[in-house]
Amino acid sequence: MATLNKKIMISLVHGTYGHQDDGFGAVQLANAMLARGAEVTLFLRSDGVYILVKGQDPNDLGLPNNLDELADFIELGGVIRTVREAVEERGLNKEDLIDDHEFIEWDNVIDLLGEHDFCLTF
Amino acid sequence: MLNTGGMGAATKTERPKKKKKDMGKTLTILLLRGPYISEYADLATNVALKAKKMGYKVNLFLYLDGAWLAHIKTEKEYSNAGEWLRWAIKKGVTVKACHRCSEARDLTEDDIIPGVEISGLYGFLDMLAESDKVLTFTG
Repeated sequence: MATLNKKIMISLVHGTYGHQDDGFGAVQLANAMLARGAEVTLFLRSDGVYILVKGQDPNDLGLPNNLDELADFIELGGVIRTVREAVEERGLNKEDLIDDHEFIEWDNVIDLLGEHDFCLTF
Repeated sequence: MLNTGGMGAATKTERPKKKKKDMGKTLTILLLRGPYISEYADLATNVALKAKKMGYKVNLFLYLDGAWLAHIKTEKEYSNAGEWLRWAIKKGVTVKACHRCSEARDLTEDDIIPGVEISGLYGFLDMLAESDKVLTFTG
């Protein structure tokens, strides 16, 4: 199977579980990309930042836990960049989120975008 | 034989065949939303057709609820997203639908528009590997 020699940014803007299955779908696709050798950045803005919240448990909804998918993403070498402002606007703190991500300021987002071949928005 | 255009001249003047445009570039479209809940399905197929006309090689991947687009098979008295998809396939757009998403929605090869291939996510990655541009339709 051919290697996917691309740098891909996946921008997640929707919240988890309640809005379609965008968060789950984004990370599933990202993991497949990583498995094929691509470099993938998960860029979280707007409600997309909720996917990082510690202790989320969708068991009662009968849905898989997005944190499990994210653990695979990180293990496969994926990188997570989170818009700080989006986290603060939602009353969240760094302590509310899992550790394996870095904050990014809006001013640096254009440069981040420019480092990638494609950007897919979920 | 020279065609003089006179009486009895049987030789048919051949009209030169229109050469298809080829930009030598590939566009891949990722559709995440189903038809009728928004305009994204119509937009995605329309952009695919426009790009095809401009000479792009065009791929369309139906992911998440986008998989429903392949299920619109009958005629409608209003805007028909499935008809746009059939037209795109006829014009040479390669269309694949996510296997897992289709399975979750009970969509099978027998149940969808002919010409749409149900494929794993690696089918989409193959599309990405050859792409110059990628567009996502969601909202």
